Amino acid sequence: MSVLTKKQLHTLQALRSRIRSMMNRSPLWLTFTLLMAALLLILTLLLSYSNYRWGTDNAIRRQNEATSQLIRLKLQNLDQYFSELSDFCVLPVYDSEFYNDLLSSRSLDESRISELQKKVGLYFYSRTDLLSYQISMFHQNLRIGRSASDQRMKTSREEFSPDDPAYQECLLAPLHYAVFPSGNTDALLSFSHTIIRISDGKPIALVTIDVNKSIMSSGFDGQLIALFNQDGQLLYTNAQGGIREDLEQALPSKILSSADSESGSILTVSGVKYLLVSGSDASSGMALAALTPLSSITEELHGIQLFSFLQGLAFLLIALLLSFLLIRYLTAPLSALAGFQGQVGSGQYPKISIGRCRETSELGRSFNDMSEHINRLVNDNLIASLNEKNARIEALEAQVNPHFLYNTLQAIGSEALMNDEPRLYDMITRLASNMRYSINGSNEVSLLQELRFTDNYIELQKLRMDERLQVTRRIDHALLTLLVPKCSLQLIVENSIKYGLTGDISQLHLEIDVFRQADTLVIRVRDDGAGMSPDRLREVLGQLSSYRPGDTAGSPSTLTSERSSPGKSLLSSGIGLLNLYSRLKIMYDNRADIQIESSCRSEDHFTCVTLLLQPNSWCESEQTFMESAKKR
Amino acid sequence: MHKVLIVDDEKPVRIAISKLGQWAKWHLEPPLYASDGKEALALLSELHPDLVFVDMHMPVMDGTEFLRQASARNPHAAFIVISGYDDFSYAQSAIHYGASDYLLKPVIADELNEAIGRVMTLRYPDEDFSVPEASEAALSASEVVDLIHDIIESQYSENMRIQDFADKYFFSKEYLSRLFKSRYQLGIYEYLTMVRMKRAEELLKDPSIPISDISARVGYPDNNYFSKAFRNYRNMTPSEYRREQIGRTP
Repeated sequence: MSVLTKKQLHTLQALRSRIRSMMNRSPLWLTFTLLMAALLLILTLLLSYSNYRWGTDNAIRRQNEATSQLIRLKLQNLDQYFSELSDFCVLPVYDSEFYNDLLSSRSLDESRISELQKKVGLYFYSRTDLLSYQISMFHQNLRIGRSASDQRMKTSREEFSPDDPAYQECLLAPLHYAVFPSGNTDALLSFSHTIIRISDGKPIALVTIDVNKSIMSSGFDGQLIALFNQDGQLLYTNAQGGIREDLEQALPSKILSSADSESGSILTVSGVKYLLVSGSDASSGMALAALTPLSSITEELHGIQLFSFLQGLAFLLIALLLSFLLIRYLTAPLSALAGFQGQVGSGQYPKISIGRCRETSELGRSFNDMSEHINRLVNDNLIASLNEKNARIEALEAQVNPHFLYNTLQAIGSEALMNDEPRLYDMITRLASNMRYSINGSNEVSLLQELRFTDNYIELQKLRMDERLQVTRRIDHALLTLLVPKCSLQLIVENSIKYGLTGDISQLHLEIDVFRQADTLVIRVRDDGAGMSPDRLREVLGQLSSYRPGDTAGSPSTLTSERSSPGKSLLSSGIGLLNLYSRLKIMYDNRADIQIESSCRSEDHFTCVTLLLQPNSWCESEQTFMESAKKR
Repeated sequence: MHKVLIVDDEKPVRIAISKLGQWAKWHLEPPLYASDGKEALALLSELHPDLVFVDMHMPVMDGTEFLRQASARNPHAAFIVISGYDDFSYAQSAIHYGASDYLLKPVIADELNEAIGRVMTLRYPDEDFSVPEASEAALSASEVVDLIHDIIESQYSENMRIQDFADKYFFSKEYLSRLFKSRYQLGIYEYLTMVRMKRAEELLKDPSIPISDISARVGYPDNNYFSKAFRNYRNMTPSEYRREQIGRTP
């Protein structure tokens, strides 16, 4: 009942192992720095974001408060203004003539009317904010007005309709005034106030004035404002065009529905977000709404926030850099340790001193312990194996201890002399010479020495083989002082004899040629022995060509068809052609080579082994005392 | 003629050098021997040899020590060192103490004679070594066997030891015996006995000579032994043979 399918699990596991292997490969400082960077970045972003939100909310709130305050003040202002306007409107009451005129039910004569007109004119000009003044006298059915647009008094006799909404409103209003949107677009509103008869409070006239927008002109920079009257009619807004219409439609309900006019709300008008703050005045019934574009609120904030974000980023980078440096500083020893571990792997056992923190110091100490321990173990092992080899060599040397060996050979030889066998004595001395030659340490000998050695070997072999072995030599005597590898010629001759006499070969004829060819010393041994089959020859040549330096000399090296046994140690392995080849490569690199030709055809069977050598110099080699004295 | 001394505690080296050296060619007498350094020093002062072979490893006195003393006392003698070690340091110390040359064991004939030659031509440049000088010829094995035969014939009454011949001429006793037998069909002692008995037969024919005399004259100091030997040879006692022989002549 696995939630994920098998395939998904597989991919997940594959991904996990991929990540793990990537992490294993990357250095500590990198992983740490990346992770730290990622974490710090996330933190910084979160911080910045919350900072931003908080800042924004704060700004909005403050804006809210400020705007509310402003609205309140403005409404108070308006209130006072209206009160002032009210006083202004009822001025005719304080003019006894005017008042009497208002009261009289008789129609007025022309002179009275022109008098009234003059008064209206005076009233009109007495205030700077009037755009029009109109007084409707109910008893006279007279309306006198003056507006800024036309320069004349406008007097008309008409029946005043009590249905006039302004009038109705004034009747209802406790303060006896009403505010309505003005038909004049330059006007802020249309203010109406009834004039009542003092005696019974019955309205006798209605004064309506249009005031300009001066009262609203200050206080709301960058904000859209809308002033609504008690009935929710838009009196004034500084919004233009389409926004205006949207406001007209959207706002009233918003204002009316907002229970708490203190907190603002976000309103989107024509795709732009605004903070809507509104307030209303209980006494005047005015509602004022201010819309602040959110962008303007957050605009200044942006600058600060960007700066603080950059600050945060800079802090992040510095923190990263410092932590990176610190981590590098603290983990550099670990990198060093890794390097040292590598050295241990390749056979060195350094003593290290790393520190900078407790764990690293402890690591360093235990590394040194381990290194020493391994070194000791290897040495012990090495020493043990060397001791074993030494013991064997010593045992061998004891056998070939000169005192024992050569004295014994001398005794045997002298016995042979006493039995009139000088030839036997000769063989014994040849054997002794060859043993000495083999044990003696140097790797290189003069050609003369090697030839003597080979001759001894051949004579000893002839003792065994009687007439079956014949040897022809063609040696360039000028080359006798050249240095050649010890036991090289002898080994080739040995092989020729060993493998040449297989099958039914009754006689073996060897030709030994030593000559110089351009820059190369050529040592060639040709035998007319059984020879090798093409496969066998290829096998042998293949073994030679696939030799790599570093192959242990312990590998069985003779040209043999026996299976190689890797367990054979250096002491017990035979010294064969491959061993010679490896010695050549070690001593001369590619200045030496072995070439083999062979055929096993019945009418032409032979093997020809050629040793090619480019010596360092063709001059006489240094002759030691022993050499010149002994010519061994 | 010059004298040669071989100082070596082991016989094989003495044998090899004595047999292989071309003494006649280099005007050298057959070598004398000392088995150790002390004996050698004594012989040196007595005989004043011109050439001394020294083995470096000897009991009693070490070769180096002997060399040091000997070369100091006998500055005119040439010393050739024999050793089993081909270590250069040995050679160096040998030269340091006065050795003229250094031979390795087992001694190789050519090397030995070249060393002798070098020493002799260096020290006696005026001597003509193309003409050999020999106080005694070196005999081959068959020559020794013939010599033995002749000596038996002429000195049958003497006590003879084959070992002396063997030692003198450096052949093994067994070998000489074998060679003698293959040449003369009889072993050496067999032949000696035969020669003695034949002589005894002749003497017995003369009854005037007492048997005891005959016994001594043919080389048997012991009468009884002679009788026994004669009885072995003739199946009768000497007296019976005399009686028989006398009986024959009228």
